[in-house]
Amino acid sequence: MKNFFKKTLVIFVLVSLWQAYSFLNSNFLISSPLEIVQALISLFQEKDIYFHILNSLSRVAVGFLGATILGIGLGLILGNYKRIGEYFLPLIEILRPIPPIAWIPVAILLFGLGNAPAYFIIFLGAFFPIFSNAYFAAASLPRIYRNTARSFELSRLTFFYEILFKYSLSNIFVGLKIGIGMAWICVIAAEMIGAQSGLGYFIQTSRLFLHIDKMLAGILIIGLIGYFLNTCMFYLEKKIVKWHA
Amino acid sequence: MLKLKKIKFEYKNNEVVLDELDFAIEKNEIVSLIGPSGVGKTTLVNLIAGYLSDYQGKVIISGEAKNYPSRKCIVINQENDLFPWLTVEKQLWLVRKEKQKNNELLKLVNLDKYKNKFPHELSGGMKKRLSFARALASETDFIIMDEPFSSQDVAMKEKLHRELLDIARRENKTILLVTHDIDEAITLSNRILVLGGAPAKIISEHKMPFDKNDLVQGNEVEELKNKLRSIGYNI
Repeated sequence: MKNFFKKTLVIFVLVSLWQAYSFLNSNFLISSPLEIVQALISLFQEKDIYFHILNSLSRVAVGFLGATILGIGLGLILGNYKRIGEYFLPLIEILRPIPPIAWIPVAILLFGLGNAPAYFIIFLGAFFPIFSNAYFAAASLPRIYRNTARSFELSRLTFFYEILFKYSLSNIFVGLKIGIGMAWICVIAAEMIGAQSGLGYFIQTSRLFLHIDKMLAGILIIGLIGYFLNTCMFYLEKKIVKWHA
Repeated sequence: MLKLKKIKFEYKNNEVVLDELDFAIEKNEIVSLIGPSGVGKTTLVNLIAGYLSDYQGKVIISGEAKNYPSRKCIVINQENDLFPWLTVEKQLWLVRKEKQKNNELLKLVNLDKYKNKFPHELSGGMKKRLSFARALASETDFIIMDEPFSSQDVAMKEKLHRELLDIARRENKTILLVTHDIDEAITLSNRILVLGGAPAKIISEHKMPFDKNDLVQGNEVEELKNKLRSIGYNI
């Protein structure tokens, strides 16, 4: 209870101030928290919002899954075989700081409209944090573990899974947590520009039709789902990485 | 079991650490290698274990010259070499896929009640017993114990040594015990090799005449210590 109070106090104070300000200034363009809650309730009574949420989530799932598989796989291989890694790292270091959103025009040119450019942008957003964390974890595998694994003549596959992957897991989760946040940011940005569905598209159209309360309700849903995805990652990490003292 | 022939090893800065190093260990022997800190004991261990390969000379284990790590020689280190993400049971499973035999081994080292624990949930002594059990699970014939109990207190260290070396004798293992503790070397091994000088080589060798199952008499220990002092070993 005390914990819940701590977590919600600041939110409660800010929302109360916002509500009070809206009540005192009837010309304030931004909807009040109560209006947003009303819009939220009506949105969930209609079926449209579920469609948008599912579309955004499925895009994130595809892009994030691709980034996870490739980011972890490539990160572990290049981190383990540093000599090969040296060829690829400069390219990755140049691409890494480019904001994924800057790739939107390129993505549209390459893939046209529809889901494909969104997948691409989400993939880029999530790939680099996942790759970097897997790479640096694998590269830092202590010599003692490597030597022990060699002494016991573990097969290459066993070494990769039982030693390298498991050793890197807690760092990989750091990458996955950043990656899922990036993926969620990217899907919204991509949908605001080049999609016909999804939460990004929904808030963009709400803005165009001046449905400010719905737009803000959409933003609130984005925040809540983002929080939920991050919490899922924390939960998954706790379930999988059990050996942390 | 182990033969070292004219071993020479130098660091990248051309500093020669080991030179003209020759010695052999017979099957089922427990041999201690002693020498002051920094003399090159751990370098020698890394070389025998196959972790270092850029040396001159030959390391022959069970009749085979080798310069890469293998199950022919397993090292139990000063550092904790257990994989922190694997439970006690899985540490052994990784090495040998025979549950029944692994369970018997865990019983032998008194860890059968801790199968599902992770290394961080074990005491220092338990961790070393697990490392030892894992070495036995690999079915190696030759184990190097490189000051494995240096972080333990004296009483625990002696207890662990006795326990594990008793098991090693029963299982017919050959052991090279690397230490800088002379008392430990005298009480536990059949033979002592003294590594010294710069570059280091075996400067003396001592057979232990007394029965290892009895506690060593004080005067026997003193006698050997005097011998070591006479060859310039600083005790």
